[in-house]
Amino acid sequence: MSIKFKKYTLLFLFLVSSINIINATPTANKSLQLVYEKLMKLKDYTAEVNIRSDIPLIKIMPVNAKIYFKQPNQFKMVAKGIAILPKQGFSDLANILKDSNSYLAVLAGNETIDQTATQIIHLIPNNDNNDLIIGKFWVDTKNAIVLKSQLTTKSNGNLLINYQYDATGKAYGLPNHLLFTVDVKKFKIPKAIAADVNKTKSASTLTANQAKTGSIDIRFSNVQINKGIDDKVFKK
Amino acid sequence: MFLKNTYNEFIKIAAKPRSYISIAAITVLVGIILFAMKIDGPAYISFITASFEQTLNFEGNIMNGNLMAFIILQMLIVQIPLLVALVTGDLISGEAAMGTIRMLLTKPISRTKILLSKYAAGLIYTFFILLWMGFLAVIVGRWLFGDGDLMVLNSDGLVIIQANDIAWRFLGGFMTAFLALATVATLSIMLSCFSDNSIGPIVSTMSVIILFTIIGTLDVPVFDNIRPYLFTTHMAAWRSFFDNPLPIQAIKESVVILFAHIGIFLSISIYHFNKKDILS
Repeated sequence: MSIKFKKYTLLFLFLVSSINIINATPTANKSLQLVYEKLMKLKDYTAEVNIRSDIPLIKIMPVNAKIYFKQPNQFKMVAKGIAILPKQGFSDLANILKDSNSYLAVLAGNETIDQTATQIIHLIPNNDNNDLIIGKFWVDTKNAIVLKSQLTTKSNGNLLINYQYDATGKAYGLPNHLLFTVDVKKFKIPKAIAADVNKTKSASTLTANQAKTGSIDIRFSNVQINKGIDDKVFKK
Repeated sequence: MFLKNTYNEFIKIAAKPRSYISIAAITVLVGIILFAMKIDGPAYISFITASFEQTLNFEGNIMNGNLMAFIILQMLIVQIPLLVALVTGDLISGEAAMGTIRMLLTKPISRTKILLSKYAAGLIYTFFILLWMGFLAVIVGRWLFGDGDLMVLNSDGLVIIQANDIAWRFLGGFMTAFLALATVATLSIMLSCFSDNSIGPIVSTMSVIILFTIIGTLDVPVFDNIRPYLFTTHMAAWRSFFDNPLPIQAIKESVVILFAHIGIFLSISIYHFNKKDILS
C-alpha cells in the first residue's frame, strides 16, 4: 500500500467519524432549542413548595407556599407569611432560550452530574444591554432538560441553580427540587435604621463579610401540570 | 391602709391634667406613625431591604400590623421615659412644693408605706401608659394593616418571625419594657425625694438617661467596664424577644440589672424619705 493511499484512507476515516460525531452530538444551539421546546409543553402548573433559605444577614424559618405559573411569564406565589425567592432563575429559563438569534451558544465540554452525561453550553447574549452577561448550562441532551445552570448578571452577580426532576417533571422540564446559590457580597443593612443603639459596632453598615453566598432550597409537591389556571389568579 | 392610700395616690395622679399629656402625646404620635406608614410605608421598607432586593424577592405582606407595632415600640420607647418622669418625678416633690406633704405625713401610716403607695400608684400609671401604647400599636396596627410575619431589622441582620410565633414575644417585650420604665419611674421618685420642686426631678431624670445613653453608645474602651451596668444599656432589652434564637442569658442579665437598679433607687428613696426633715 502506497503512502498516498494510506493518507487518503486516514482522511476518509476521519471525515466519516466526524460526521458520525456531529450526528450523534447535537450542536449547542440545537440542545438549547430542544430544552426550550420541552419547556413549551408546560402551559401552566400549580405546586406546593417548601422554601428553606440560608442567607447571611437573614434569619428565616422554612416557609410553605403555593405557586402558580402560566406561559409565557405569569407567576404568583401565595404564602401565609413572608417568603424569600431569588429574583432571577425561577421561571425565566424559557424567556432566556426563547429567541435563538438573541444569543450565541457555544459547546464548552461535557460533564457527568449524578451519573448523567451533560453538555456544558455557554450562552452569550448578542445584545450588550442585556442584564445577563453569560449563562452556563449543563444540559442532559438525552432528556432535553437542564441539570445545572450558572447565570452571571450585571445586577446580581452569579446565580447557580441545581435542578432535580422526577419522572413527570422530566417530560415537561419542570424540576421538583431547585437549589439556588446566590451572591450576597452586596448585602448591606444601614445601622442607623437598625437602631439597636446598645450594640456598638465600628462599621456604619453591616455587610455579609464572612459568607459570600447564600442558598435557597425549594422542594415541589402536589404538582398539577396543564390543568388550566384562570388569569384572575395572577391579578393582585 | 396601704391599698387605700395607693388608691388615693392614683386618684391624685388621675386628677392632674399633666397625667393626660402622655396619653394624648402617645395617641398623636402613634396616629402620625400609622398614617405615614399607610402612605409611605413601602418606601420606608424598601430603604431597609434595597440591597437584598437586587438579588432576592420578598413575597408576602411585609407591611403588616406586627411590623407597625414593632416600629412604633422602637420609635416611642425612647420618648416614653420622659412622659413617665413627667408624672412620677412630681409625686413627692409636688407635695412638697404645694405644702401638702406635712399634712400627708400626719396620716396614721408610716413614711415608708406612704412612699411605697405613691410608688405603686406611679407604677400603675406607667403600666396604663404602656398598655395604651400597646393597644394602639398592636391592636390598631393589626386592624389597619392586617396580620402577618414580622420582619425585624436588628444589628445582626434581618430576622423574619412567623405570625404564630409573635404574640408571646410582644408580651415578653412589653413586660421587659415595663421593667425598664419602672426603673425610670423609681429613679425619678428617688430624685423627687431630694427636691422641693417638680421640675428638678423631671429634668434630672432625663439628664441621667441622656448621660447614660451617651456613655452607653460611645464606642470607647474606657467605658467598656461601666456600660454593662448602666440601666440605659438594658432599656432596649425588650428587642431581644424579637431575636432568633432567643438570647435568654442576655434577657436574664438585663432583668437582673434593671431589678438591681430598682432595688437601689427604692432603698435610697425610702432611707432619705424617712430621714427627711419636712419643713414646708
